[in-house]
Amino acid sequence: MSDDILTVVLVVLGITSAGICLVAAYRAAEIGRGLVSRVHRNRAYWTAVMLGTLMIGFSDPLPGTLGVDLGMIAYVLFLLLVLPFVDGAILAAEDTDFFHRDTLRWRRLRKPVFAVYYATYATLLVSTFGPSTSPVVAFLSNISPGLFVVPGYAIATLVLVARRTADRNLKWYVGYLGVGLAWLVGSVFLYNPSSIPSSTAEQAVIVVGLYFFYRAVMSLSPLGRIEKEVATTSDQTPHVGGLP
Amino acid sequence: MASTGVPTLDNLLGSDGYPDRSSILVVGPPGIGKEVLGYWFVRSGLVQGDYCLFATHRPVSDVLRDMKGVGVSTERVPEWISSSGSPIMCDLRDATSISFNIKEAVHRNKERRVRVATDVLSPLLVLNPVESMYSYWSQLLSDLKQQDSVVLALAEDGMHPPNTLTTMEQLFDGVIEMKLYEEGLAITPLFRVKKMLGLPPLHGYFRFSVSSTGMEVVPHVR
Repeated sequence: MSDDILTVVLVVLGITSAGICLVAAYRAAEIGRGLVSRVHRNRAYWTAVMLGTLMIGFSDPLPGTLGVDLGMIAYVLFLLLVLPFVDGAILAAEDTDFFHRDTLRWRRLRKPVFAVYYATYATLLVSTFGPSTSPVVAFLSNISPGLFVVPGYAIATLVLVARRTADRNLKWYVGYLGVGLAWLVGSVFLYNPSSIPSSTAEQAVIVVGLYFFYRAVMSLSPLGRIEKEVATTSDQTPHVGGLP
Repeated sequence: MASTGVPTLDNLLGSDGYPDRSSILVVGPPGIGKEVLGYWFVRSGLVQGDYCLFATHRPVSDVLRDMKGVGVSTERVPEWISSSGSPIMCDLRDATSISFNIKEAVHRNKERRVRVATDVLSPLLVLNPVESMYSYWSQLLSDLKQQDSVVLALAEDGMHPPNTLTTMEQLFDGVIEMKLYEEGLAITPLFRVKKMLGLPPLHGYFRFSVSSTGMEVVPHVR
């Protein structure tokens, strides 16, 4: 297949990725707006924010063509937002645990965990963008891999608390997130910006991964469809709602 | 009639509230706001001088915080049966004690009208076979209705097979379903009254909103 055709396919896949993220983020925000409980509402809103971040990162299949590295911007944002996103899901899942267990002591430790994470995040930023000759920056760049331990602890807590809850929709939500994440991580192995076929295959895998994120959004809360009302001949009862 | 605590809902039901000596089931997914109906129901009872009992699997502190968050005054509080913070404990692993405690509390106050709000139906359904829970709730509701009481039970949609909730709905005199509905790209929280003792079938959907000043219910027009 010629590179021109693959480039067109690549751009279409990029637009598809952006479209999936946009629709999913909108749906998540709408679901959040409809919920009353603060923890469930926050989970929906943080899901919308994360999808917006993914849209920034995955909708530019031809890096550099827009004059800015969207992937790097999305990566920085993702690291900034991943912890509150997972925390929101954990709190919503614990809310549905009838025994109100503090899984892996998350509720007790979340504030210090947040503090440690963002302190380490700041060091990562400094070590990435700071002057390379500074010994302080060199030291900070050695400890910044510890950043990834905290989200790992949060994700482990989320998986455990999802196993404990009886809420099937929440279990599906966590499951779809996991599968989607696996596909997105898998796409990294196809990363080769100098090869159009590899980039196309990578973008196709990303589209599949983002579709699973969309399915996760649809699992935030069961959605019904308004049934069409059948008019009765003796109109003794109020007929409101559901009628065009 | 026992006022629901939400004036627009009382008007909607056309009879100023839930029927006397009735049991009402409110079904909805987590986070939709079912508990708010319970809070306002109890609050309305306290204002009218009814004996109010709230049997919950949650700590009292969590429930009080939620009540304040949706504008329900906590100057007067019901008697609690809860997992913590109340003299009477709610142990989900001992359904018999929950039933005993509810009945005993209601019998002690049989000279007054009684309101019971509870969210233990779903946890007990998850932890016990549906057949035994059907008998359990049938006996409990029957006993409570012999007193002058109105029972409001909350059930979680999404935690039980659909036929389980359909089976349990048969035990109740009224069933209200709260859910998010899709209308094109928009998603709207609506509820519908599937059945209500003493009322003709109430067709249609109703939009509800909850704020720090209270809850409002209006007919939904597409």
